Amino acid sequence: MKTVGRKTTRMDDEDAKLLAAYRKGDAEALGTLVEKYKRPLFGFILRISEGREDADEVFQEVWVRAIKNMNRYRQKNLLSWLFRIAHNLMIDRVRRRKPVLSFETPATEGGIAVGELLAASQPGPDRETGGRDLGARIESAAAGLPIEQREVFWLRMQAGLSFREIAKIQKCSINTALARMQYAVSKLRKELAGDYRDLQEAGS
Amino acid sequence: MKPGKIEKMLLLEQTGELTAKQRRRLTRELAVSGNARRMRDELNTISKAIVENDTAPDPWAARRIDSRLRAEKTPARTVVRLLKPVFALAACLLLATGLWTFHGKQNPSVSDVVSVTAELNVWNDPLEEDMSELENLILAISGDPLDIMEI
Repeated sequence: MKTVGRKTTRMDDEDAKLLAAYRKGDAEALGTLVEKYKRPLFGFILRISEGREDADEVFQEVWVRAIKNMNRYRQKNLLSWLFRIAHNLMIDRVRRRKPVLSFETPATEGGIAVGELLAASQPGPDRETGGRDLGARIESAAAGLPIEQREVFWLRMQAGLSFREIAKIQKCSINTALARMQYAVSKLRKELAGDYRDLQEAGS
Repeated sequence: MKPGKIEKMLLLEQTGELTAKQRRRLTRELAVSGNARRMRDELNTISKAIVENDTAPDPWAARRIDSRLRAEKTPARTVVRLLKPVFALAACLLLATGLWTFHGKQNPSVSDVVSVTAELNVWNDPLEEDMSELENLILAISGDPLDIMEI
């Protein structure tokens, strides 16, 4: 796990300088900023979007919106703000789509839940040995979580944000963010029950 | 402590968001409860198993973002954006004028009514005269007023 409990209240001086340089016409400054935050931001977007192409589109849209509205958010942490824009964009996209799939949503006429299909489509523990494969298994299982829970899970586990920051991004209380994380972990626990021993071995 | 509460505290412990009091409470709980220790191991295991995402965005992403931002700043668009309030004001004025004119026509003044009536009379009077002449002619031919009704 990465950066835990970071204090992020004001925009980084370096970010502010780069933004000012970009406003004056220095395109390289934007390149430096995008490069600086591409991993956590794109990693998050990729995990809550519908694939690579969609993620690229959202990633660019996040930056365009961020820079266009920069004056309004001068005092805030840039990465948190980028996550917040990404969150808003993804919520809009999900709302525009028709049904929201979750683990409980029956995926077939026979009423097989998405979680069951997902579990059935995954390779068994005998085929997975390393931590990387187990990580991929977690990723697949997390893909079936409802968007709010998936967001909390990845903002916490991948981007390393605190619950206070996650709550700000999702515009909810810390307790709600914590509860969403608990639901996510609980569902993953059920999904990965068979592989839990492997997970522990890989983690230890 | 309830398992849900323990899990919340463990999650907050990972992010360093526990208060000193909560930390002491959790330490006590972990010392006496095997279930709490199992939950902590489980959370740590999941955290460690998360794969570092190596996927990077489109290598030209910064260029594309820059192009989009520059395109949106072109003079033509800026002029259109600046003129937007002017267009909106003009549309409002046009609408207000239209409504005012329409209401004006809905409630005509007395002089308007008189002039319209006079105009109608100019047309009606010769017509009435022609009709009575025709009536007299028919009476003269038939000699019986009842025949007129039949005609």
